[in-house]
Amino acid sequence: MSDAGTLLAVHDLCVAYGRSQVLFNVGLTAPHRGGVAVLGRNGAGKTTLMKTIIGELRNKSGSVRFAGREITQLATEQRVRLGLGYVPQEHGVFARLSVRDNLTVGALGGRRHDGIERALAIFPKLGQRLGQTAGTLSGGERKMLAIGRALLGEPKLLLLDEPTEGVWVGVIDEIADRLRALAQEIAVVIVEQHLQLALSVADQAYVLDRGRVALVGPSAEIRDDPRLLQYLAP
Amino acid sequence: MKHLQSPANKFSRRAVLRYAAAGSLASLAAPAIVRAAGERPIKVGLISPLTGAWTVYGKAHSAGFLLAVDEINAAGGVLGRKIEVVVADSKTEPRIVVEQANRLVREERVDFLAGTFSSAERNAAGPVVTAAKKVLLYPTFYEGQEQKYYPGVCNPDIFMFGPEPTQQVWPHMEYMMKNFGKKFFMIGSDYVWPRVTNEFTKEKLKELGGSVVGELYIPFNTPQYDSALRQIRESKANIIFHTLTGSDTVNFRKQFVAAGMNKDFTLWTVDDEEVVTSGLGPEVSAGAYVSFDYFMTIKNPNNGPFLERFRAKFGKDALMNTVGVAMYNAAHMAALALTKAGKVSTEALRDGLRDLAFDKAPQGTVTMRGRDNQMVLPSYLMRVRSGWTGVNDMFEEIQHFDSVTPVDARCKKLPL
Amino acid sequence: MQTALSVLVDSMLITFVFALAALGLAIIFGLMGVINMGHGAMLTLGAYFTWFATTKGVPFVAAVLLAAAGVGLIGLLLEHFIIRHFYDRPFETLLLTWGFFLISTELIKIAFGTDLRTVTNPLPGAAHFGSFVLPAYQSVVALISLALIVGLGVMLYRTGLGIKIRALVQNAEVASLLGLNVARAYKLVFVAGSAAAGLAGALISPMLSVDPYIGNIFLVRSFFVVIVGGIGQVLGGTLVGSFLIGGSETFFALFSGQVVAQTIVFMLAILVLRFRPAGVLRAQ
Repeated sequence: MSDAGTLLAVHDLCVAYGRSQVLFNVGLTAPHRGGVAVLGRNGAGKTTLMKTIIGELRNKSGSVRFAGREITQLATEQRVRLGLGYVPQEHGVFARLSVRDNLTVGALGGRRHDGIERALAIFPKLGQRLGQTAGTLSGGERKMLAIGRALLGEPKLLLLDEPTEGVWVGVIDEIADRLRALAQEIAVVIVEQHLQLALSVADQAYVLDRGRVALVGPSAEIRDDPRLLQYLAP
Repeated sequence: MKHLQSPANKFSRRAVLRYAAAGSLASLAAPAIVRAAGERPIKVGLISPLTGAWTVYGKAHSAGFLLAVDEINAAGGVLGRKIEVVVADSKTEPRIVVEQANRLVREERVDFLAGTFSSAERNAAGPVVTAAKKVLLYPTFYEGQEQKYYPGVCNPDIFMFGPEPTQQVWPHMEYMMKNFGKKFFMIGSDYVWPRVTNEFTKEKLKELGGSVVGELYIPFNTPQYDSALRQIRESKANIIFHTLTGSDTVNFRKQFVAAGMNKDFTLWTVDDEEVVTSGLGPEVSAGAYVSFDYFMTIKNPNNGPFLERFRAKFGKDALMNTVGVAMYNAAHMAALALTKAGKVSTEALRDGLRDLAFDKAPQGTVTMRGRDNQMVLPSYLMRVRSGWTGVNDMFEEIQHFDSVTPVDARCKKLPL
Repeated sequence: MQTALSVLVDSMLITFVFALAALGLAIIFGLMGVINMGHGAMLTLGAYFTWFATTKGVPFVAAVLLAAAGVGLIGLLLEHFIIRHFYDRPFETLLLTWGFFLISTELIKIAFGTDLRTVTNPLPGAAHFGSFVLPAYQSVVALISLALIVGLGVMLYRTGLGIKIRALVQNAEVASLLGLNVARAYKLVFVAGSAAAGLAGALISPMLSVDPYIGNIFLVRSFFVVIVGGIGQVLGGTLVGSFLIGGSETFFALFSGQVVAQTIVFMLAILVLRFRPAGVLRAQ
């Protein structure tokens, strides 16, 4: 069944917090290159899906295959070393460490130890903030730092949980540009409330509703699907 | 005199050892005892610091008593009855002493009690022995009797087998002052024994024309002595009069020598007997002056055979000291007192001990002064030899007095 | 002037010895949040290993290193078989390390006996400067303590490993997202803290009487040092805390008795905890 073009294959995934089940038989695939959006209203299970893929949550049943390998038994840091990256929704930076140290930690965790320059090339703004502690950065700069740092680990696939949440509107476009460029090189799975941004980054979109995949298809089709608003309405 | 506690003790199970005294071999050899074996033994409750910080002292403490009991039983017991010792662990904690003393009296129904170690332990046992109308035989060098510490002292039921300051300190003050100077710096642990001992010492010092240029009390378990050493250095004292106890005496003296101050000051300790001096080692202890009623190396007809019997029972490296010897004397003198009275009771023991002389004591002949239950003892001043290798060459005798009569106890009424 | 100088020197000596004794606790407590009640036992073990090795003819410096390594190894076993399973449960780790303290204290008594032991001072003598005196060995220990703290600072703030550890301490979850091996780093920190305690016990042993409770003298003081200095403030906190708990006593003792001085110090510590519960160096 393994498709040569598939990097990530989530199959029949069920996840529960104690007795309350949050994900029901979720399936999702991502190719080696390009964006995948995961949409849905609050509580639909988007973050749970992300955390299960990265290994912070354990699944009840189903499988997660990455680069042809079953990874559900691996610890988070092992998945990261296989090439998965994750930028969580909040608390994504080490607030008491300087920007430089934050980036250095990202570089140390990766396979290539060529320093922090690549992150600065993607987000030049961070270059002016290297000596500052990360806790003093603005929301947008924190997201840039978290994304830039995750990229230093050379991920093959980057999971992004709400990359524009809490970001000043003037900076959103800059982040969106970088994400679109990134999706040309690696796989990007993005959870995002900002619908237009998500669909502009992603070629493929999944819509979750109460823990189940309600819609799936190319971004262009999903954008025009009349049921979309119904699933996203609060 | 020692009163310390460690957190560990509060949690470990109460350790109570039962010492089955009396060699069965001895009773086979002596038909008289076989006859006596049918009689109920005389039970003694022995309260020793067997665990906790002061196990080092507990060994000689209990060993002296048990050795004497073995000797008494081997010679036929007391009034045809053997002595059975019930050993209880004080853990060097007054609270445990109260528990154990009560248990020994009520559950074990002992005929009398011996032991406890620090003044705090003895004072804790005081009310128990008074209420139970039992005698307590107390072995440790201590601060003397003063009415305000009743019923721990000035108690007709408590007998003191160790020396107090007018025996341990006063006899040697003239020598020390003549040879080293008249300015004393007093450093001691912060509790009753050092404070009262220093009061006595100051009284005599005044009489002899000396002065106190510093007086310092250190809380238990103090690790660092830099500021104490500086105060001593600045005081220009001649003699450091030392009443620190336990690990604090070791910690202070190690740092005193490390600071090179042993070259400039004479140290006189009334705490550091064989066990502590062994613990200090020759480098740290050399040159210090020590005074007690007993040392393992004193010469008299009793001491050599006593140590031979002690080593045969407890090993050739076992250490004896003033406290262990006091316990040894206490057991023998109690046996003599009961034999003399012809019966076993608190009154018989109390009356029998009063003014009883014991000529087999490792110190020579000693006498229990009837007026205030205080032993009349010899007093030795020793200097620690440099490069000593063991107890046999540890102390060099400077002077001694065969029998020192202490001043009267400061109790409300004498005789007790 | 002379007195002021010598008081200052005395208080520095005490401060650095206290800092040395507290460092292992500060590392484990400050970096991992594990309250290591076994810290006192680790100090004691370090002292006994040193005593044992020197009586077997091992040179003092080698004995100290062996003691540190030995206690580090014990820390490794303790972490691997017990502590690591309880990192998310602080109360359990407290009880477990307390259990370790009880057991190792009893084992020390069985293995080494309860007699007073003594480690010979390897550097007897003192340097005299007018009215103040520097005991040679204690001065060396103070310098080693200072070097350890500076070295630890360089390690934490200037090396990749240090940055990783600081990142991990702040947010283990994100650290694992960056591919850091959290379990291994915790193990490393616990072993380092244990070895530091062993080293401290070894270095302190020639200054004190070696008995099964030698570590207890420092345990309460070490906790005060760490808490007053500020949990998590491994370096500055340990030094400031050591000065307040140990060094300042020297100043108070100028005007009052030792007992009063120690009482003032502990009262100040309690006041600090009341009004600056996060430690002297932390604003909140």
